[in-house]
Amino acid sequence: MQHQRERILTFKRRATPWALLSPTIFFVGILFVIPIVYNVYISFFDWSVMRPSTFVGFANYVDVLRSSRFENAFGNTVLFALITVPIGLALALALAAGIHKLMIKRGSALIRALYFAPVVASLTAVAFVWLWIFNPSYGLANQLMTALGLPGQGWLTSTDQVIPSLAIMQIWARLGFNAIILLAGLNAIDNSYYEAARLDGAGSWRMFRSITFPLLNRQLVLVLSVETMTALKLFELPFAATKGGPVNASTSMVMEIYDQAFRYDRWGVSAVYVLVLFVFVMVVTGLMRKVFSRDVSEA
Amino acid sequence: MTSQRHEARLPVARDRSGAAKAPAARGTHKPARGTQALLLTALALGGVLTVFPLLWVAMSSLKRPDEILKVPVQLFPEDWTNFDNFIALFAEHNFGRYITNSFIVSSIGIISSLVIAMLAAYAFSFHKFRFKEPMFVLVLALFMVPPEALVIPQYLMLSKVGLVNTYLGLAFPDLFTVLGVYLLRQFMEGIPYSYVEAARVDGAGELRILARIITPMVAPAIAVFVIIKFLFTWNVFLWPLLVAQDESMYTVTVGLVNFAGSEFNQWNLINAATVISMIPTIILFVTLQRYLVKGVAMSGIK
Repeated sequence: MQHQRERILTFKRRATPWALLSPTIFFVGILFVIPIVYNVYISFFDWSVMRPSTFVGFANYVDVLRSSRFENAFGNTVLFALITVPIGLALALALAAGIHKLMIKRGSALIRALYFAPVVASLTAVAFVWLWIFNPSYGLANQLMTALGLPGQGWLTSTDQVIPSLAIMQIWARLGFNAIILLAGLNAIDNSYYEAARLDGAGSWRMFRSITFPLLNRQLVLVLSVETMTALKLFELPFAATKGGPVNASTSMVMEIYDQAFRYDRWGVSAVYVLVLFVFVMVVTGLMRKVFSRDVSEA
Repeated sequence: MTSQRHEARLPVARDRSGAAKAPAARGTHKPARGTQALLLTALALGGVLTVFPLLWVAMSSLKRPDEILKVPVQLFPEDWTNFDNFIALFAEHNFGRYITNSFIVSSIGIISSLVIAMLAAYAFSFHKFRFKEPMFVLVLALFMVPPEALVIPQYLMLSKVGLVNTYLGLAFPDLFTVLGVYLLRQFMEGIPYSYVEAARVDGAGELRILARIITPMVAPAIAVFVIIKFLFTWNVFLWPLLVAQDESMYTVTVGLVNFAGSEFNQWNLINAATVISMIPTIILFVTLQRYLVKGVAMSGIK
């Protein structure tokens, strides 16, 4: 009797954490695991929501990887990332370092707030904010160009300028967010490192390279990989501001995912785009972590 | 425990004290006054430039249809109290409905993900079980899964169970958030185990301990999480674009894009609609900035 009671108690003690975790496990299952598996399954079918679906093996993969649509969307997305990620990171680092160096008693919170404000806007709102500024006839951007004696630009309406213009929007929208993360990292660095270095006669560039840069590594790698991921899933900005135009010059991978499924009813093809994007994001951000991460645990 | 609470409640104060400490700690190396003034000027100028597009949209939203298309561009609206555009959006268009929808969807997402995350964080913080750390790492790894990579199968699953065009369907991917588990565990780990142990000895059940003892102690973390979650859910676009098929179910982001697409070149109205879509998050930002900044900063520091 006593023995059995103890066993029940032990079971209860062992089961409690799993009971507490059961909703998490359930939702990880239906929100992540099942969709990922299901997506792979769909990718092997000529899948339609209107008519019966048929198994086609790797045909969707071949179709997608050979198509010029894929080449275009992938190229646009990667170009967008190649512009936004390095510039965004450099600006955020400069801003964070600047705010960190600023030693005023009042007003520093206000300055931070100015930079952080765009972060709370949705990317759809960001799209319209800038669509208006970039308007070739009535926009502020061309007004400014004229005032400076420069010719007006096409911005979002030019095939060459559309991706850089979208990049400006993204960099603007994300700057405050990244700077706050880096600033938190800078604040966490112990000042004694700098004091010691100064006693050894190190200049500020040397201190930045040998102290700040390595000790900020965690935050830098975090910002780098999050920014890369955010850039590669480009969707709202072109969807709202350009509809992928002009002449598909700003169609992104996620826009293709949307179009293939919801406009052309080609869910299998859409699923292939999803997988390519998913694997690409994972590989690129994984590589970044591997290449750039430094273990700086204080020895 | 006191210091934990204090630190969590007053994130800005801590930051400030950190910044205030800096000059003293740097001791011998006093920053030149000129450099500081230059830095301040540059940062302030950049800040004004950064916030200007938002001000520009706000000012444009107060202009009349003929006024907004004037060339050369007028910086300020002629009448600062001209709210006609906003009135039109609520009276002649459905923006009131979109905002209500967004609030409903955000609330469902916040409540569900908060409860689930509290339970999970409690298990991770105050229980010992097999595969605990591997499981936590696995859950955290989901952070790096872009939500866009899941929409196609998630949508098909949802349409199979008939949840398309419903509030529950709109909130579906937001019912659980990895960030919550992470943030709340970080805070709960700071609570001494003895608190939980004492309550257990007194015969309190686990849910009671979680609700009565732990929850008040992690209130600041809950605040941070609720704010960040609200921001994310309010701003999400792709998912509601797929799931809200009737105009009456549109969230603010979908309503905005749809409206702008149908009111081509009505820039006074589009600007006002953009402002409307941002008002709740701007209010949140202005009033609770320190929590928001804290939340972002915390997700960057382990």
